[in-house]
Amino acid sequence: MRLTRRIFWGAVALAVGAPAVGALLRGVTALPLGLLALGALWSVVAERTRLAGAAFALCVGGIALGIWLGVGIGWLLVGMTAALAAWDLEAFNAQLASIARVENERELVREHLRQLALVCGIGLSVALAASRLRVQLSFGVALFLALTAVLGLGYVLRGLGE
Amino acid sequence: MNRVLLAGLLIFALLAAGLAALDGRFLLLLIPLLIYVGAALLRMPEEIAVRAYRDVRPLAAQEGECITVGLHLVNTGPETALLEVRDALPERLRVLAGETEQLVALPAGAATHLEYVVEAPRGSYEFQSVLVAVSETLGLFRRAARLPAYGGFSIMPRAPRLRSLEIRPRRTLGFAGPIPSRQSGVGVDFFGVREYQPGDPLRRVNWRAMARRPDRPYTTEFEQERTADVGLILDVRRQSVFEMEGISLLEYGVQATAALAESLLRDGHRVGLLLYGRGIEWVFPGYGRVQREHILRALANAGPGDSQVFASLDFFPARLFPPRSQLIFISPLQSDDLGMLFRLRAHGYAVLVVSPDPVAFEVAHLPADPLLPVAIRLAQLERRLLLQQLRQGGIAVADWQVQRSLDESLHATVARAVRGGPWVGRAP
Repeated sequence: MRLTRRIFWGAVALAVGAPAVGALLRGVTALPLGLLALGALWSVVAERTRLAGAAFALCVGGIALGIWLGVGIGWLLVGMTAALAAWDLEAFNAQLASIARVENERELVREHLRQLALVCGIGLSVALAASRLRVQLSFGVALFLALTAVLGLGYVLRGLGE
Repeated sequence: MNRVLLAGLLIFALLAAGLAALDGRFLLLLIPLLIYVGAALLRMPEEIAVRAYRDVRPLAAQEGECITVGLHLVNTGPETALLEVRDALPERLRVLAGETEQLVALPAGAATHLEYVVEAPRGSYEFQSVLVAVSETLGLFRRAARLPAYGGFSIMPRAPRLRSLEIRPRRTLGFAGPIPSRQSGVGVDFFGVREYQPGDPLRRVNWRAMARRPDRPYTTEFEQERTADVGLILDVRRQSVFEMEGISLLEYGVQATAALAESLLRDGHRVGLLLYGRGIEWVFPGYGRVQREHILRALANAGPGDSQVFASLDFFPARLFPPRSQLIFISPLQSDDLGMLFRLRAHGYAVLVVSPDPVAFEVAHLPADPLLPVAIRLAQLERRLLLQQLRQGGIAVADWQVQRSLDESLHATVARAVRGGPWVGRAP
């Protein structure tokens, strides 16, 4: 089995396991069950890109639900980062499987994993650091920032589409 | 779903949830996703800086032979590119060895090489492009394009070897060849004896005749042997193309034409080719190996023609062929072809019809049916009548059961005709 495949299983386990543990610590049982079922589903549909994308979206939805249920943000951030890594590795595995010849595969995989680890590490660190920050914003500033974010993202996505 | 679109939707959804719930923790969940997308965005390839070229060896081969296709790609950009290469193969090619696609991380200025071996049925094949996708390491953003990478090859029909064909057109050419011209000259066969004339070489003096008539010397004459103009006409009209279980009778016609061209050119004749049915596809008459290549290339591209104009032989361009030359018509034959064939014969052409038998061809592929023997018998009778009419009109017909050797069928017909068949024209 490919190294990336093994890491994918681990990432899926972490993506559903971390929020589930967080939820259990809060005494919530429905969310862990749902997340575990989702993890099983994701494992089954791995490499079927469309369904795997849906599994990732559902996982993010489950993690976001954890916020309303009062699950610790640390658990959710770990779950979110792991879900992101699993989603990326699933696409990478599908790409490797779809092509007949991969030149210097070991090097290619190693480089991809290095990049992914770096991005996920930075993302998790920044998010955890940000969770400790407390900034008071007025409603006007918050609205301005939100609108800027929405418009900026929209601009980026439109540019990518073109 | 597109990964970029999914990432964008999730970012919007989390942002909207954060705003709706006035809860900053939703924005915290966004951070890993934003950094992931941002990192990919920063390294997104600006353009596809890749050059592709192709080499194909050999450029022409016979059916059953293999072609090696090499595809070379060079990264002309300033950075390492993650390249996904998928070669766009023409239809009907079968890859025997090697790979037609590759994923490779190509450093700036480096090159990669893709090689595979293919086999293909008769025809001409053109490679136009190669599909190349360049992405950053995370594979989120990619640019794909078809890069031009031209190349091509032809698969010529396989031609079974034939013995020399004894044709006897009314007109021969001036060069030495295998056709007795009924004129004295350079040759090996005895032609006659005439009175000695000053200048005749002494070794041609007929001493036996001189012994009988000692008063004057005699000279032996030999029959001059010459080449001829031969026009090969391959019938590619749609209604003459019978197909059963993916096998076409046209393929046999093409093979027969190739074999005849090879045999006639080997004997030194001047051979031209007309593919009748799609239009006027004409290979001007010529000699030797170059002409053989021209004819085989034309045959490589021979396919059924749907032209309404050329659905019958009424528009047969007889003027393309020198008067009184030899015509060889390769066709399963239609009942309304007789008129034109008789007209050609009347105009002084020596006509030989090589007819792959469509009845035998279809019978070999038909499932068992109680009415089948009756149907076969009727079809055979109809065909026999058609061939009989042609023979009575002075046209030699080689009725070729495609399961049998073409050489046997042809030589049985030609030998019969040379023994005194009416199709044989004599040189003046």
